Amino acid sequence: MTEKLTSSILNESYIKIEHKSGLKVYVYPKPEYTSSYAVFGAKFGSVNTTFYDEEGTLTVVPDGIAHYLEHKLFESEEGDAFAKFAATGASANAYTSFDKTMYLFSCTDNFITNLTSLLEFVQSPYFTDETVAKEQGIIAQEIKMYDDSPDWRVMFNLFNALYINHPLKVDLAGTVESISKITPRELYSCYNNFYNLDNMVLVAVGNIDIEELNACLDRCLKPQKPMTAKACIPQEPDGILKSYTEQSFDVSLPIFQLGFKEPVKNALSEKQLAASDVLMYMLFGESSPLYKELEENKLINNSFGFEHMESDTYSCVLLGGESRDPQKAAEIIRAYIKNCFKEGFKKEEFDLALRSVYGNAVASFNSVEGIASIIGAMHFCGREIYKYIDELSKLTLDDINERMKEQISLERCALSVIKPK
Amino acid sequence: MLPIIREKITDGVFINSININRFKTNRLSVTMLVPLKSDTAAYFTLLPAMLTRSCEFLPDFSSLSRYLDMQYGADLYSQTKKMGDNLALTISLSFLKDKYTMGGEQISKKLSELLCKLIFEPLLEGEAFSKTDLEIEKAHLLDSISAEYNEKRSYSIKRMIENMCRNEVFGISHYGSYESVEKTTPKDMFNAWQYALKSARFEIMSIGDEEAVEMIINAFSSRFKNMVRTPIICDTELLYDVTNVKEIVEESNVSQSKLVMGFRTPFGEPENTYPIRLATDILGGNTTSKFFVNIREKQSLCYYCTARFYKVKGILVVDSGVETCNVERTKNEVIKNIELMKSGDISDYEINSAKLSISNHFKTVGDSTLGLEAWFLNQLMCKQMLSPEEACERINNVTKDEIINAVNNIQLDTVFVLKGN
Repeated sequence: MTEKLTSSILNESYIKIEHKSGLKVYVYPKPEYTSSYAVFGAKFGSVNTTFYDEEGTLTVVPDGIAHYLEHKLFESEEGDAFAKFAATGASANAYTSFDKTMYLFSCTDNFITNLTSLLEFVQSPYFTDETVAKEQGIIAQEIKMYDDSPDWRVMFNLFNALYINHPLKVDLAGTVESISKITPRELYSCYNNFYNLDNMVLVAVGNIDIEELNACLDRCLKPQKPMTAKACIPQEPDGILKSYTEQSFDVSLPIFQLGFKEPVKNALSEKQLAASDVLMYMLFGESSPLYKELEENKLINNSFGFEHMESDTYSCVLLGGESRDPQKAAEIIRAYIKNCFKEGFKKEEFDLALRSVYGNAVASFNSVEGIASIIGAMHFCGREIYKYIDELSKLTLDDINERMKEQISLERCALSVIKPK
Repeated sequence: MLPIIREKITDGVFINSININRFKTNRLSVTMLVPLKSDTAAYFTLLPAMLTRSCEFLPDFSSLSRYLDMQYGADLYSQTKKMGDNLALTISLSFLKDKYTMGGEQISKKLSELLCKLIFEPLLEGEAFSKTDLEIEKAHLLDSISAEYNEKRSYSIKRMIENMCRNEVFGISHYGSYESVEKTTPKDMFNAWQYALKSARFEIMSIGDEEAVEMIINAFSSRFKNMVRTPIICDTELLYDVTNVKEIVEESNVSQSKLVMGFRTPFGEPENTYPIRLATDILGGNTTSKFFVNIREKQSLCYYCTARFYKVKGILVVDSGVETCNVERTKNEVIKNIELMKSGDISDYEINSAKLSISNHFKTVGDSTLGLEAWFLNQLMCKQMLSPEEACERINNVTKDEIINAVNNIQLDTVFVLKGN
């Protein structure tokens, strides 16, 4: 089944295909571009360490297994999948996030050959004691690299303060100890339960011939049983564990992240997401009164930033960066939020933020990689990108005030600090 | 082929334009090239930051930010980058094409004019820059200097280069010293600005609509029309002789040690750098490279071990993150792989993979405005500007003998180790 989605704002369209194998495929034509890009992935990320398998048995696997699986999938009985891409000059890669694992390539020629390689290697798991053991040294070094990264540590420490049970607390790649326990059997278990085409998505963007692509899908996608495994995320209370956490580190300038946890039962809607984007810009953007106050007090610098991390089981806003005095910066931010609740926002601030967020949203359609990753992420949360843009263009100040009440609460706010030793 | 039009509008001022329709945005940028010197580096690093903070027309950061929000979140960005023995000070502005604005507003003209005003009409207090603005920008730069130690990988590369080139211009930090930033006055900034207007080599880039291209040409031509200029000549000193290998070890409280190795070569722009660039890629540029295959995959010593060639200075830098006990072994492996290449141990597969990978990368440049800008700015020190297609041809014409010859000309100069515990 094929559906065409069109945006009058962008004057562009793309196609959604429900392939007979169960896989949802999105094809976004960008005929004027030189490169094409495809991403194929599963809704299986670092938070999925507990699940009911296809037999209904509750299964617990070591922390970091989704990321380990990502590394190992590149290796097949015939050798390394990277070599196949290299033969055409394509550049292949993969990433594991909290809620998904995505495999991708970018190429300027031979799109179908590369797509075939992508679909084949992701559908051909091959794990032995020897290949699994070999990866341990490599991933251990990756983990240690992140252990030494203060930006990474400040974020995970924050998750550990904001969340009580949610596996968002767990390091994406696990620990050197947890990965040492991973076995081929457990990798196959995760693979067989979650790398089911019902639980996966393919997005292709660029100069793509749809007929050739369809033929490639028919040829490469292997028929399989409907997905029966179920992810199991522990019940998360609305409140936070603690409002402050700190770690001494070998740094020369402190770093902070302030986080606001939003209780969620399902993924946010397109409208909620759009309203969040405008809200965050109004609160923390460079033209906001808060930014001005923090900067004038020399409490933030060019490293300051904010982001909304969310999926169907979590949602939180993070902001921060390097600071000479994180406590003082957090104090000003909290006071400012309190005041925003009291005074409300001005219409002029809303109009400016809306224009800015809208401009950036349209500009994001410049990039083939950007389009592919956003459509993939939206798919796993049951959202659609054009609907997001439409909702964004229709937002009102009332929507923002409403969203602020849902998303931001000083009761559910924590500060994480990395301080010099 | 991408049509780039290069036009000289006065001595040392060039406008480079690419009329391209595939993007939702236009991108304009101004790069000023000035000599890198220890006593002026701080001024020149502060200059683009100051020029993008305010201007006579929008006299503080908040009013400038609000103005940009109004123009659909136009993205104003500044950076200072070392380019051989010179500093490239870039100010760029990226913004929606008029046809994508919500109410049909014409923003391109306003923003072309804004870019001109930022360069030519800064906020002045007599013959000095704004004291208030300078205090904030100095705080940002001092923070950046302090925070360099926070990220150990980039810190280690920087320390290797400082040690390797300790008696050369290239060894000077583009930030300037902490003390020189602290001492910078509003008058120093005024003088640095005046110097840049009269003596910097200006490279203006316009990527996007034909109208945007025209607007920027008109705006800048009229400003420079009656100015008498004495533009600098951008040279870089190439040192090739190595008398003895410097070995520097710094202790740090980190879990992973960093190994950085600096090699000298006689190949710096505007010489032919294509063979050494291919050699660098074969050594440590992608997933088929010798370091990836032999050091990471076969021996599980590291997560990354990469090689990068600094083409203006002609130096090759290898860096990796490893267990402290494996530093020596990894260093010996790097040397061993280079020695193998010197003796001709390079397969056709390795050469072709590297050629395809680099060509793929070159061809993709035209798919983003940022990529296009970077492509042409990166060639400022070259004999002639090449299009990505022309550069692909040069890469593909390199022979195995040329690669072997290039590798035989590299010499280890400095080894820097950030030793963990």
